[in-house]
Amino acid sequence: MDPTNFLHWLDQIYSTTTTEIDCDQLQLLLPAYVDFNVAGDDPGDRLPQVKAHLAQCPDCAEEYEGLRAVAELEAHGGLPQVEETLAQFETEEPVPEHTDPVPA
Amino acid sequence: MSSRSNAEWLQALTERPGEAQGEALQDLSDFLQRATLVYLSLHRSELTGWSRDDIRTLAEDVTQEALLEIRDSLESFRGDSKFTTWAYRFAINRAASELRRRHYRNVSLDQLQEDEPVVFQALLLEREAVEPERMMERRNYLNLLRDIIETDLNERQRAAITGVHVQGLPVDTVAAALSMNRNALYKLLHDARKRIKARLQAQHLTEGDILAAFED
Repeated sequence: MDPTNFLHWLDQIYSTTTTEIDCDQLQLLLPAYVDFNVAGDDPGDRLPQVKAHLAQCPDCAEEYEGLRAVAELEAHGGLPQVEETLAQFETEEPVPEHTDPVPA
Repeated sequence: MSSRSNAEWLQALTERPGEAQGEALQDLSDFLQRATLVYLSLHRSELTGWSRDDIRTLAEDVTQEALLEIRDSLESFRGDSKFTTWAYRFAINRAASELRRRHYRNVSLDQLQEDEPVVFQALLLEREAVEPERMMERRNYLNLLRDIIETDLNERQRAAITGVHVQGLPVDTVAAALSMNRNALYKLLHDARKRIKARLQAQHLTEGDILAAFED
């Protein structure tokens, strides 16, 4: 375990609560959490149990980031067409995440 | 972007097979494939060497599997998000699992257990000049944590900590090596964290106490 992982793990231990939602429960709540985020609401305020789970589970956190990127693109102009994204695999840069400021 | 409301999606997808349902399925399939490709493009470093056709085929496979799962799960849609966000979750979950499965295909329980004895070794390497008292303090905390792990956790919990926190493997991958699913592994790790936290707190140790010994 390297120092960065250790400090993160220590934080996860001390952040542990008696009742945490599991991955199956997280998956059910994740779309609403993402939509709150895309709408500019604080999703951690609306669904704190989801925020807590994402801090503990790297796989769910990775899927959250992916879903958020997709939902942001859809909300701000639409998802790129299939051929458009495929063409971008042959360039250096990945499909950019939407970067407009989130409304307050 | 879809112009259908949640209710319109549900109505079109659940009505009798016909033109409206066919159109909705085709639209949904198209959205899922586009969402899958966006996800894959964010993880392109894991697809180095893949041809455009390989990536297209992977996205089509993920889309088909997600579409089947969505059709079987329509009754569970509660309307607390956009229908498309709910649907994309199935595709992204599948795409992520597939990338992990292909990237980490040979992780075994033996491999997780091999690293158990060296869990904290790297933390005691002196990268910079550390005062002897501070180094002793670090050693004491690590010995305590090692003792908790060895005495309070079971074999599977120790292997799970090694895989996820030491080796940095995905939860899905460690779960597969332990013949369980992600949800069960999360519960296993949650129980382990609760036990470790309880033992540390029983000794009146705060996070700040331990951090102070390790932070530069």
